Amino acid sequence: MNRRAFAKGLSLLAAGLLIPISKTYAKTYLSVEQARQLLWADTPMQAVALTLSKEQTQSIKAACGIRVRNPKMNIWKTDNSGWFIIDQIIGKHENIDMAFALDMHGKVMGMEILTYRETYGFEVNNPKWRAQFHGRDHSQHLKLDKQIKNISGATLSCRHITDGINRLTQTWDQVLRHL
Amino acid sequence: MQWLKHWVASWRQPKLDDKNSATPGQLSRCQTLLGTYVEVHLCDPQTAASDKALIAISQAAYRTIEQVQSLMSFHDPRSKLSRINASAHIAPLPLAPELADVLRQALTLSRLSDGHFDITVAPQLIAQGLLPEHRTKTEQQRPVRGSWQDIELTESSGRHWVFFKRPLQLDLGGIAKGYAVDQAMAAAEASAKKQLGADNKLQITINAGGDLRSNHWQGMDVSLRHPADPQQLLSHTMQNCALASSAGYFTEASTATQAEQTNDTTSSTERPSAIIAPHTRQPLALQQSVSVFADNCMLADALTKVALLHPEADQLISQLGGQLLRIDQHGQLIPSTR
Repeated sequence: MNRRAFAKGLSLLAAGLLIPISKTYAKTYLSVEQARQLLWADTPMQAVALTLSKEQTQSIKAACGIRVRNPKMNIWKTDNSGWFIIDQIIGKHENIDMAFALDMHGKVMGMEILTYRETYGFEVNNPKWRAQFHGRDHSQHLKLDKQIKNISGATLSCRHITDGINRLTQTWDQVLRHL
Repeated sequence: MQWLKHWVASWRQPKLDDKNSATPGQLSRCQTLLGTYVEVHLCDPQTAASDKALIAISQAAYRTIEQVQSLMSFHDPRSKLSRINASAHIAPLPLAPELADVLRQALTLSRLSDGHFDITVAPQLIAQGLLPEHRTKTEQQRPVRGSWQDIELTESSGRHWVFFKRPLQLDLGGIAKGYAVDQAMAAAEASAKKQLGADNKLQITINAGGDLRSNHWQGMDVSLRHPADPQQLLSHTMQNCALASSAGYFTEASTATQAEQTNDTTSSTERPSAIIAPHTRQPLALQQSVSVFADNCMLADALTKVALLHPEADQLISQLGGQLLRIDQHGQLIPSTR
């Protein structure tokens, strides 16, 4: 059993033992397909299987100062050598699924937020949040609210996105450009 | 327990053929602009609007916000605002009409609120680590003591000019955000007319980190965050087309971080906020949150500062056409009696 699989089992076990509190919510914006249409229109693309090696993740961290949390990349290469990337950004209060388009020179052409989850406290406590892992299809997005809530409050900074972009452009520079 | 959360989060692998959030006649997007998350929700009740039309309408809104950002961002050293901050005390500088509009309205509110609303508190926000420092080391040694009264706006031969009588650092912060939302709404409505016809019923809501505006606000419920527990949402009905809120949570200043390390963050302990009292130039310790409904987002945002700082805020806000709602540290909603 590798480390990730072990962690998976361990976290499920831990999640099951915790007392549920239902405070977390998520917002789903575009689907992956909608984001692809928006960023790349009908440009053909192929999925590329890529798991970063330990050396690669360390070298990316050294270059941008941001840890690579998930070495398994969700990437598609377009016919004109651009990239479509689905990535997860984990901030202090938020946990965000994003879609990025990088052009053949590694420049960010556009990005879309797909799912935004509040991550105050400890969200695996939430039974609804946990429920998503029981489904057969891991691509299923979590939808706690059918209607997206309009929330007003103090401004939440989006600087973790900037960190995420730096990490991805470094990943392009060190790995993707050579593929 | 952070590590566990991250591991759990890392299993979900999205797939390209995932189509579950596409609903006909609806589009919800979120982009990072103005330093925060900007949502645009579009819904055609007749479900006739195509995805392509909705995308074009949302793009019109986002492009407008980008333009306002390039004019009014304090963070961007190349913005028009940063250029004014760098040299408007040396000689008068020409102003873009949009900036002239925002500055004029900000100064009017400063006058009406006896300086309790002031767009010149940037030096204190820089000192707190909430705004970046663009000045050189030598420039930093010169004191910046000006206030809103040192801003001179003039108009000659159809052009607007700005001059600072003393060195100043303007930060339009929240009101630029409110202005961006107002302009984006106008752009989205114009684009909807073009894409869907003049009699379209497209419902548009734009929310830039809590500065919210909707063209179908009647009867709409909004969620307001609990001041002591921001993940807890309190529901309230919209009172006008625009809403803005102000509170102390989410402040990521160095001073706030220290306060968080020494105090229990989940309790209602006071900690310094991003709100600077213009007369004392000290950050306000905030336990409550304030929300203001108004007929435009710029005014709503500006009035949240008035609500926190002015001794007779309730009266002034009601005179200016706003509706104030305070939430105390226990989550009690306190509407203004005015």
